[in-house]
Amino acid sequence: MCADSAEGVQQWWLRPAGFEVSLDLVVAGLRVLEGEGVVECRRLGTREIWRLRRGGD
Amino acid sequence: MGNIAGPGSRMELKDAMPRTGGVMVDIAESNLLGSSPQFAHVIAQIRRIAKFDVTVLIGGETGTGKELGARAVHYLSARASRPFIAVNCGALADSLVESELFGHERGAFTDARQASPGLVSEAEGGTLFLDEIDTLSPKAQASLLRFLQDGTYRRVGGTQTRTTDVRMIAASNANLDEMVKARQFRRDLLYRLKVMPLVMPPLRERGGDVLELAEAFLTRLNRQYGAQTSRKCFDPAFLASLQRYSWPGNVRELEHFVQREYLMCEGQVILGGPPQDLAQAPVQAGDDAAFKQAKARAIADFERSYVASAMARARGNITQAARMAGQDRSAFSKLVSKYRLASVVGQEQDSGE
Repeated sequence: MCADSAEGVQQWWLRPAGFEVSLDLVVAGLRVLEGEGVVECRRLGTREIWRLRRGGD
Repeated sequence: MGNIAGPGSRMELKDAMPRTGGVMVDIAESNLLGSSPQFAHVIAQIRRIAKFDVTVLIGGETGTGKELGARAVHYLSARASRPFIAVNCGALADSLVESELFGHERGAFTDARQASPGLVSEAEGGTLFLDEIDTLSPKAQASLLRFLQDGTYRRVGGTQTRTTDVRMIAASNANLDEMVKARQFRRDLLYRLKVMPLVMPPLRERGGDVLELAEAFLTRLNRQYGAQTSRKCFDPAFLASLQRYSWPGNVRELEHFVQREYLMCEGQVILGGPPQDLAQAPVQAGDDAAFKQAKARAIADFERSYVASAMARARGNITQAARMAGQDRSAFSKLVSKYRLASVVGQEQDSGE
């Protein structure tokens, strides 16, 4: 049920888990996962929010 | 993308997602960097605030980490496994603020071809972070106040009263009390937001945190770019220069500065002088040491500015810039190195000559 921007994913999902990667790589990875139907991107105002694809698992 | 995009990446990303229950024990420590008493106090406040499901108002100068503080509250709270939706109120068109926040029904206005749930709904169960709250129009302030008072809202163009479970965190670098006095911000809204005030301190008041943060940023850069460049470290003089600077842009400025120096550094040791400090103490007449320092600083400022200008006009070509300056290429090249003004493009152009 969680969702956050790419910066949030980088800083608060990946970093504490030991993954230290640049923001560009995080976005690229999220786009790949979006293509695979794992996550989905919601454009809210000026920001993009990422979350697990709902109903897609 | 390495681990994230490769085979098995889905499991790794899922495993990395935040959850409650203490699985990710370093979630705060890995992001809230600094051990100064001032910042330790802030961290303690954040941990305390996170426990209580109340509205938070975060203040602080630009670049001090207000959004970081908001995320820390969210990810340390019971809402950590729910959405964190950040909104920059200043970036929203005034006429669309209400529909962005609370959604709209189909046909509510000209461009509303389909219904939209709004940010409040998207943040259901989680945290809605409203940055630059001071930029909200009086009408949007009234709508937000209504929502904060009873947790209900209506989509633009809708008649149904909706409820949602969202924690609100607002932030501003403006003096909201002064704005209330000037009748630019609603007093009742300020009181609603200010249930738990949190102020992020400026970097100049955080003592040794400057060096701690710089080292942490360097460690991250070494990890991020380890495959593309040699591992780097700071020269002691570089570190000393960081402490002499007042960092008006705070942590954001420091992070960008370290990143820039890291990427521009060809060797393994990041050298160089301090950024030009606008907050230098005025020189007192009769003080020989102060005079010499001021003179050296003025010369350095002139050299840096002159060399940067010549390099810009020569599009990064050192040989051409030296010729334009009437200087020997070798001597000019030393100045370029001294002030770290060589761009990658310039080096490539020069090496091709």
